[in-house]
Amino acid sequence: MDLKKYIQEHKNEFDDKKLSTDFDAVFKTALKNKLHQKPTKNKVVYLKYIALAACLILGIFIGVKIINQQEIKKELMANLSADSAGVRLEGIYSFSDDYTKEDTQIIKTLIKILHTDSNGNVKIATIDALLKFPTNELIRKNLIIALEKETLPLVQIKLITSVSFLREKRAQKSLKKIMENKQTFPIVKSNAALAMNNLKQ
Amino acid sequence: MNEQKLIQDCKNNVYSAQMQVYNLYKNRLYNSSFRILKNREDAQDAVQESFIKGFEKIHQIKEEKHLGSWLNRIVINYSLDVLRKRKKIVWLEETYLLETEIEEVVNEDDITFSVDKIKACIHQLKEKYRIVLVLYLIENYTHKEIGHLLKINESTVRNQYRRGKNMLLEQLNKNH
Repeated sequence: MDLKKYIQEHKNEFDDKKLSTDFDAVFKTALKNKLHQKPTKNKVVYLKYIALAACLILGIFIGVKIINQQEIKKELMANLSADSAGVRLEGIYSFSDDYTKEDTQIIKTLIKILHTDSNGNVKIATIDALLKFPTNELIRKNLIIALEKETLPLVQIKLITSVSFLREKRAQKSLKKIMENKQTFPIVKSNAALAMNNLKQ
Repeated sequence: MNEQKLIQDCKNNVYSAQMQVYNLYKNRLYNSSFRILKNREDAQDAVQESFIKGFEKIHQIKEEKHLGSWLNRIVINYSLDVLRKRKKIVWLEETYLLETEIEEVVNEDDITFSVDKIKACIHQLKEKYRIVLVLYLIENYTHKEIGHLLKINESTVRNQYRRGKNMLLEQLNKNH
């Protein structure tokens, strides 16, 4: 008889080995893990809810903080335009203590105070507050403008030392005018001369 | 349950249908793999991986194809890959040998076959002969299909088969 023919006729007898029931259990687990992964979906949904809740809480927290900051700014602006010099001073000091970021609206208000306030102490405190942002071009330009227009000696000296501290060479023209003005106090002139020397170096 | 319904359910990833298919063909696949790998654990791994791969790719099966044969081919391919990776089996091309040089030594008609003896003798053959004989005689592949599987010429397959068959018949004749 032909060997192949014999084997094909008895094919089932060649498949006599049997897998154990232990292996069946192993296979069931493998099949479930590979093709029927349900728990992961639930885990993902669970994590999504946690992330959503965290975002919500963070949003509320940020919202409350923003509202607080807006309230503080409102109070500050009110103080800066108060009739009382003492209240205006208080506002300028609180700005100096609490603010680290440049707020354009507040800076413009301070610059206005620098040019228009009737109180010398308020102006001096304003200059100190503005010097917190030495790289701000608006502040630098307005200090030079104020230097040219200012008549109160103590404020002049403060402005002179400020432009010297900032090494603002553009202030040399204003300093020269101060030195040449016959009405300038001698102590102011000598401060201007010192600043001029400093800027020329 | 008819096979078409079973295939459709497997395509829909129905767990019970997949387990039914597994129970129907697990031993067939196991024996096919064991004949190639000669190792129980390796053959079990091959069965597991082949069923899962089969279920993942079941959308590729044409409706009219026999599911068992399709799965069996997957396990045979997998088992041959394992053999290649572990033992680095290389079937050398032997195109310089003329077919007429390989003569049949023992006449098949003189032997009384038994399943157990054939299994035992095939099991003892060198791998390169055993694989070709198993694929041709038991799994019913053609020489051309075997050449494609093993990446060798059909003529090489025929030569390997003749030599392997001669050895098998010699052994069967000794034990006769």
